[in-house]
This record gives sequence, C-alpha cells and structure tokens, in this order.
Amino acid sequence: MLNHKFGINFVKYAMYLSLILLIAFIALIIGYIVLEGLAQLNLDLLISSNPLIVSTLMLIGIALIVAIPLGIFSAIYMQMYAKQGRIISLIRFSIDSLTGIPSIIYGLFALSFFIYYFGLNRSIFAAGLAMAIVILPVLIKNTEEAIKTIERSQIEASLALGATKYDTVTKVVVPFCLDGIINGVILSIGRIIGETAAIMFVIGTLNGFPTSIFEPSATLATHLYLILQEPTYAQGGIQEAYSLALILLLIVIILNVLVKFVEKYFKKKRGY
Amino acid sequence: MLAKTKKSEKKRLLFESLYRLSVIFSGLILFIIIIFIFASGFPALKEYGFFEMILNKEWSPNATDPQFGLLYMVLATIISTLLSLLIAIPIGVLSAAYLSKMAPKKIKKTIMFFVEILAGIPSVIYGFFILKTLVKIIYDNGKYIEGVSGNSMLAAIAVLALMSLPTIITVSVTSLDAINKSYDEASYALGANTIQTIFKVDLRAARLGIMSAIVLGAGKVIGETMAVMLVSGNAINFPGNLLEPVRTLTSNIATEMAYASGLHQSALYATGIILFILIMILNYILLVVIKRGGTSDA
Amino acid sequence: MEDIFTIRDLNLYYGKNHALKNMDIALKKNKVTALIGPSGCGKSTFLRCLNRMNDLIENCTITGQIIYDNDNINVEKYNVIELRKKVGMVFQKPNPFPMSIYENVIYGPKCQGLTDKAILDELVEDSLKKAALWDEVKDRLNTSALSLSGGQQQRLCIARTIAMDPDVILMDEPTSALDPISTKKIEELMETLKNNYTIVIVTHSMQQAARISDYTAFFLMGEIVEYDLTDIIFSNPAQQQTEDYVTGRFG
Repeated sequence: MLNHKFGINFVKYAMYLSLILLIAFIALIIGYIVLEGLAQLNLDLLISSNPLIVSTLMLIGIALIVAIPLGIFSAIYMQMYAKQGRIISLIRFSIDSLTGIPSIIYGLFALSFFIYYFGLNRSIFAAGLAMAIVILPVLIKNTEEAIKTIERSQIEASLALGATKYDTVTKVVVPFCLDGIINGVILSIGRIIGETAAIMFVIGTLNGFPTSIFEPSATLATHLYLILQEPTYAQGGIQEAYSLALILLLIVIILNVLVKFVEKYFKKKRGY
Repeated sequence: MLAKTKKSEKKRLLFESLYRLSVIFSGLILFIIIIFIFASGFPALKEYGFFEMILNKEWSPNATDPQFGLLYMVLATIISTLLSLLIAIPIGVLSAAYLSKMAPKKIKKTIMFFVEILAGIPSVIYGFFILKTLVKIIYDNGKYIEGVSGNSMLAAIAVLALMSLPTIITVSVTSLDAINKSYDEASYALGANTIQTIFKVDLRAARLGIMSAIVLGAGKVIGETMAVMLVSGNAINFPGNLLEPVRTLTSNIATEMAYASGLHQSALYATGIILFILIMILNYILLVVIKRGGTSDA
Repeated sequence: MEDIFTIRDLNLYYGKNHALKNMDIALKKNKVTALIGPSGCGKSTFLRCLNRMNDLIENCTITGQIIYDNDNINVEKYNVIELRKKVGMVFQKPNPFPMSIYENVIYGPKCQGLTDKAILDELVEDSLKKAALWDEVKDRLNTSALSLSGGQQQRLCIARTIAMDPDVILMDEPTSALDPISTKKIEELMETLKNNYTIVIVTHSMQQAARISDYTAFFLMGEIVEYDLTDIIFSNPAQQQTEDYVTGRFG
C-alpha cells in the first residue's frame, strides 16, 4: 500500500488527523479545567482548600521519609553490591512487578494490612505508608537508572585508588546520580498528589484542619472525588470541585517545569 | 596519614547491612501484598466458588442468598479496555510518528510538554472532565431513550482512551527518537520518501518500544478506577449497548467497599484477585503478540 | 636488582575459559616492564591480577601465587584495600571524576582519612608536579577535571594515583586513546617516574614498548612466551614466535 501514491496520502492524512485529534484533546481538557476553574474562583474557596493542601503535604512527607531511604538503599545494593544470581533476579522481578499493580489493589492491600491487621486508625499516616509502597518501585527504578549512567571506569578508578566500595558509593556514585534521584522524587510527588484509589480506604474524610497525622483527613484528590460522588458533601458544592481541579492542574504543571529546571541545573553543574 | 578509625569502619558496616536489609524488604513487598489479598478474598472464593464468581451474572451481595457473580463486570472490563485501546493506539502511534519524525523541533517540544502534563493529571480530573462534557452530551441527546442517563460505557471508553494516550505517545516518541539515524539515511538514499521511511523503517525499528508503550497503556486502562467510576454509571448491565451504564471490576471494588463487611467484603477482595488474574492474562497475551510481531521480519 | 612481584604458576579462568596459563614471572623493582602481544591474549587480565581488580568480575577464578612484599596477595584474606594503596592503576580511557582537579587528586588520601588542608595542598602540588601537569593547571585547580584535554586528563589520573604514594603503577594502554603529542609527553613522564616507582605497562604499540621499557614480556594466547630485557626481545629474541611478532609477521 505504501508504494502507491494513494496509500502514501492515506497514511499521511491519517497522521495529520491523529495529530489534530491529539491537539484538540489537549486543548479541550486543559482549557476546560482552566476556564471553569477561573470562573468559579474566589478567595473563600482557596482558603477552604488550605486544610487539604496541608494534608496533602503531610501525606507526601510521610511517604517520602519512608520510601526514599528504602528505595535508594535498595538500588545501591542491586547495582553496586549484588552478585548476579537467582535470588537477585527474583528480587528484581518482584520489584518490577509492583509497577504493574493497579492502584485499587494497593488500596485493598492497605486496608487489610494497615487498618485490619495492624489496627491503625484511618489516617494520613496509614495513607502515607500505603503511598510509600506505591512509589517505592518508581524510586528504585529511577535511582538504578541514574547509577547505571555512571561509567564503570569511574568506579574502577575509585577502587583502584584503595577506596572501599562504601566510599565509592558515598563519594562518587550517589553525588553524581543525585539528579536522577531528584527526578524520581519529583515523579513520585506527582503520583502521590493525584492518587485516590490507593488511599481512599485508609485515609478517612476531611475533619477540619489537620492537626495530627494520626487523624483521618482528605487530600486534594480524595476530597475532589468525594465531592463529585456526592455534590452536597462539600459546602462549596460543585464550585469547590472546579477550584480543586484547577489547583491540581497547576501543581502538575509546576512539577513538570521543576523537572526541567533540575535537569538544566545539573547539566550546568556537571559541565556537560 | 591514617585517621581512618574504627568509627568509619562501623559506619560502613552499618550502612552496608542497611542496604542489604532494604533490598530484601523491597523484594518481599509483592509477596506480602499477594498473601494479604488472597487471604482476604479466600473466604468468598471458598464459600461461593471461583468459577461461579466469574461465570455467574448476578451480583447481589445483600440478598438472603448472596450472589457474587462478576460475569457482566468482567465483560465490561474486557470490552472497555479493548475498545479504548482500539481508539488510542492508532491515534497515539500515528501522532508519535509525526512528532518524532516530521514535526519541526519547536512544535514537537511544545506538544510533548503538554502531553507530559496530561500524563500527570490525576485520574479523578479526567473523570470530572468527561462527566461534565461527554456524559452531559449523551444525556441531553439521549434522555428520551430508555435506560440512557449519560453515564455509559461510551463515556468510560472515551475517558480510558484519553488516559492511555499520553503514556502511549511519550514511550513511542522516546523509542522512535532513539533509532539510529543511519537507518533513515539509508532509506532516503535509496529514493524512499518520508512517509515510506517512517512506516517501512522507523516504526519497524522501534517496534519493541512501541509495543511496550501499548502494554503500559493497556495496564493503565484495565486497572483504572476513579475515572471509570465517575462516568460509567455503576449499573450492572450486560455490556452490549454503548449508551447504557456498566460496571467494571474496578468500580465494583471502589463503590461497594465503603459499606461492605464480612463475606461481602471478602467478595470484593476476590474481585481484586480476579482483576489481577485478568491483568496477568492480558500481559501474557500482549507479550505473545509482541514476540510474534517482533520476530517475524518478513 | 630486586624483584617486586613474583608470580608462580598463575592460572586464571573466566568460567570455563582458561585465560591465563601457568604463568611464572618476576617483575623488577624501579624498572619499566612492558607487556606486549596481540589483542585478547591476556595482557590486561594479567595486569589486573596485580592489584586484584579481577575481583570485580563475576565467575573469575585465579589460582597460583602472586607474591608482593613477601606476601601472597592471591589469598581471600589479603587486605585488598591496602594493596591498592601501594599498587595503583591508570586506565586506558582517562577517567577523572566529574569533580575539580583538586578534588580528583585528593580523593584517595581523603578516603583514607586525611583532612588537613595544608598537607592536602602540598600533596596536590607535589603529585601534579610529578605528573608533569602542575604548570598547566596550577591556576585553575578548582575547575572541573572534565574541562582538560584528553592528554591532560590522563596525566591527572596519573597524579591522582601518585598522590597515594604507591610503590607500583600499573598502566593499561594509557596512551592508546591519546594524540601523538600527549603520548610523547606521557612517555617522557614515565622515564622520570621510574626513579621512584615501578611501572608495569600494557601496550599495543611495539614501538612504544621499545622506546620506554627496560624489560618486556611477550604474551600469546594466555601464555608468557618470552620475558627478558627489552633490548634482547627486540633485537635477538629466543623464541621464534617472539621474533615473528616483533618483526610484524603477525599481530
């Protein structure tokens, strides 16, 4: 088909059509959120979303505190210390598989593990632990990829100078894959902010301004979901939904831009 | 010169054991998840029966003789996944081909920036968007038809297609960008034009990457909960009419968990198990298709 | 003339592949020994035995004795970190760390716990002078090492190794990635280095071996075919294979 003019033109126009559809989708979604969000925007709504923002930040904090060390240490072991063999392959397969598990299954797990088995309260804390598990494979993969970019000969040079493997890791490897690690962290933050299904069973509902991580609360995303399911649930009604959507969109845009800045900064620092 | 003390040796040994413990712990998580989900779903499976759950069409957990049939939901999940991919894959791959091989650099950069933003938008917002637009349109135009309320399988398919597009595009563009330029040069040198080069050489060379893009998109779609829940209507119908509401496996879990207990709750965990199995089957099929399509260099 | 390394009955296996066969050789102190031979016949592998760098390779088994400083280093228990302080290595492709020139040179000593700035400063100047690099970089010690040319980077790697005050410097084809002028500079450097250090160098260039080494060992298919004074190897070798190689009949 591709050898005749007709075929070639058909395919060409199919590509153009796809592109136009894509641009249309992008414009529609982003336009809708921005326009409706701005139309409904008022100061009261922004203020009332304060507790949600604080809860979301607390959630991010807990998840990162748990997952970052766990993730970086695991990646360091797998790239620098592990001997290739059955056990390590099994562990790697196990960690890779985690990325394919849908959020709702993590939600089910969090419920049975943290709430029923360990008896935790429905709280930001429980949700934070759940999210730590969700972002762990992302952090590990990003850190591993970053470590891989370090040339083998750098590592050999360090060892040849009489440094221990631990020295090599702390002085050469980790400092120079910092940008990959930060990238993974920003990606994880993006995931946490938008996540609903994985935490909806263990976080509870909004309970005023969050004063403790051990109390139930809601994040921007979970609260938005509850409003959409039951519009009478929120005082602000459906307008609150539009504001929340706009806020979430802005956060996603900021994170994306942040990633690009981080890339630029580290490129500059490294000199290439 | 040697100020290297026992203290730094201790530090080294401490951290090295932390590294080892971390990786063991990380490796165990998958198994812990599987164990807990299976343990929670087992009572329902035992009481009601695994095959009964998959093949029975009646789901009434609160009846005196509770029924946990998931058939219509399994079908809804499978059909909505397939149809949404059917829409998203051509649009995604063709757009990716254009962006990678034909678009001027500035346009590519701008569009990819927005595609990446789209990839990061939370699923509730996708659901929100379709709820307020497409669902409304369907309702306005179809409310006189019996059974039409706006929430429908069509809306679900639309939202799923929309959500998988960014993933398919970003991974495909990356794969296409990574192709060795010498392939293109050889093709042009032999007198082929742009379209021919893209389809005969580039898409072929990047097929592994593009196929993994599709697998990733499919994974996202089949496990999607929030967006589907907001627009699909949650009535358990046979997924035969696009304009009627349906319920997917994911919606089932999320909708009913709030007020489920005992055997009912166990049945929801069992739903999760079946979803998991479905995903594994899907991945296996896709892998076979990839292998078949990948190795035949006819 | 003292032997600094005595190797007895050395055999090395990569899995089932018998890469080094029954090697016996004694390397001389404060001399430059060149290891020559066609590609893939074990020169680099042998070199890496001398500082236990083959430990990094999976499935690598080494039997036999490698005696350095009256101790067999080819034993599980031997303190490899200590060994590498005394036996340093320069690699084929210059591989300075993406840090400043200063930080590159003090890397090794810092790992060993040296923190006194005055001592470190002196060490940096001393090492860079010995590596014939000081004059070119003394005004920009804090700039990135990657901003140096290939030849300068390699001399920096040499300086970094010298900063550890080793007895032996192993060099794995140190100039094969460099231009002729840098190569010449480093070859001149080796002449002065051998007064204080023992140098063992793997090289693909016979001319280089003839120019700079005192002793030469000819490797072929995992065996040391001949080992003698460089002059003899190149003008009147005992083995036919050696003669064939150095006269260019193969390789």
